[in-house]
Amino acid sequence: MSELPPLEGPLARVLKDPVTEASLARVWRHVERRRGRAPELRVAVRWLLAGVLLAFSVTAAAYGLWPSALRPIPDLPSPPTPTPVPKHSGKVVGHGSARNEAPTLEVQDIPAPSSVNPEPAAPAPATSLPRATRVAEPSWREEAAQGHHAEAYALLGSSGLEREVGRAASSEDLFTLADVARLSGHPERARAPLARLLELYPHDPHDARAPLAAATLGRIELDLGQPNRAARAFERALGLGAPLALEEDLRARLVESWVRAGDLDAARAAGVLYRKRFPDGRRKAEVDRWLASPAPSTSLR
Amino acid sequence: MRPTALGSLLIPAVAANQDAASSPPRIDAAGPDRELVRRARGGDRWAEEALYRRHARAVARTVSRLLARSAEAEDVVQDAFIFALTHLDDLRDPDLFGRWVLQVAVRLVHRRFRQRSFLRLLGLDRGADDVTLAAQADPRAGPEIHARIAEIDRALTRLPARCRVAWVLRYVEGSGIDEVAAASSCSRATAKRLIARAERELRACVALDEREDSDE
Repeated sequence: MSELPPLEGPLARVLKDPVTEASLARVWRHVERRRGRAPELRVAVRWLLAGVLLAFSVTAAAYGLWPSALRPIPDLPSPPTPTPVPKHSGKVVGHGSARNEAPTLEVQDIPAPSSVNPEPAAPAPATSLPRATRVAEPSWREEAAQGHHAEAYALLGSSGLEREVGRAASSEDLFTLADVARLSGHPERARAPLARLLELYPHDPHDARAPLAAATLGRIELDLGQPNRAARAFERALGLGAPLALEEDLRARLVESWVRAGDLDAARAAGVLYRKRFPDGRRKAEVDRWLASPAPSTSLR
Repeated sequence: MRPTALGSLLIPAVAANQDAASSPPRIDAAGPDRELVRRARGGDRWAEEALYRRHARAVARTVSRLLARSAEAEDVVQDAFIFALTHLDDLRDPDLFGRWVLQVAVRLVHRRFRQRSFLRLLGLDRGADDVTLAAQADPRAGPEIHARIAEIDRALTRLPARCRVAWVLRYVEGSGIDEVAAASSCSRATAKRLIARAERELRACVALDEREDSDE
């Protein structure tokens, strides 16, 4: 074997990490985009099929290709149909008395009626066919529940979101409205339902949505270039008792927000709290980097 | 499993404990993944992103080292997380999300290897390995170690995919046998066999290279 010196420990110790923050962020963007696109594709296919079916129906109707069983029943009473009258009628009478005589057949004419006065047929009874039931339009809630946020947003219309925010009877409705706006590509319109949720349900003991709403609002503000507002929202999320699973991320984002807002004192204070709370935190390196440089270069979103 | 020469050269500490079933998992499985998975199952995108943020780096690092191609690695990581996040309901133990997503990623890596073989057969495999172990070697590590890593790199390309995956997980990433078995979707015994076979073949390749060098 070789005389080369042995390597201590796993090989990874002498290797650089091949993964960069930028590539992770890029992958996540693609993951989000592809997960969001799937329902759109399904809807597109659905519309395409509906279009093909409609075109076929129209063509079939235009060329009279409907099979008789599928032809629509007219609403008007059918026109009177004359009773079919034979042009010539008669009866056959047999003759032949003797055994050896062939029987002769004679056709006796019966005068046909000179004219036919058919009585008008009684009007067709009103059809008692069941009327087609109208298919209910899917509501924005149903679309949102299935993850079709773009469709839900389209169903809400231009002023529908604000209207529904006013009508929303629970924090769940408000959160769903925020998700519809955010995940359909209108994050700025998600502010209103989230702010309303924080206003109406800040301390619901049965519902832990308030901290999540504040955190989401902070994230949106950060994405929209409002780091001051983002920082306040993150602070509110922490104040409302964010779950442990999200706390580390929130504290790191708070540092990022203050740094981006240019308030380095607040950023340092938030950084101290982060390090104290999560001495071996997963985002420690990022926090250190942000605090070292006034303008953070990378952010996951 | 008896540590072999190459294994002990590379990773004496791990090799000595190869039989220890309770080697520490690379991804902290006792964390609050359960809570995040629960929320993600309920459609909480924030929790999904938190899960991604927590495990993406480890998965991406492993996949990059297995595939040695950064673009393909990104595709695999993307596919793995899309699959995992869309099939969260299939996850039996939410605390093991990290291990599960790595397992999904390794399966996708195997699929990539099969695609590569097929394309190579048709003469259409134009991709170049840009994330080889040698390319990742720390510049401070010294020329001898660089040379050793380059040798291993060359030898790894000649291994069958399953052996290569098992060996890289074990000796490059430092995973325990249980983790290798879970990621490779095989039993512990099979994982050990794969690693042993990889090591035998690596030794043979390295020895052959050295003989060729000395002949020249």
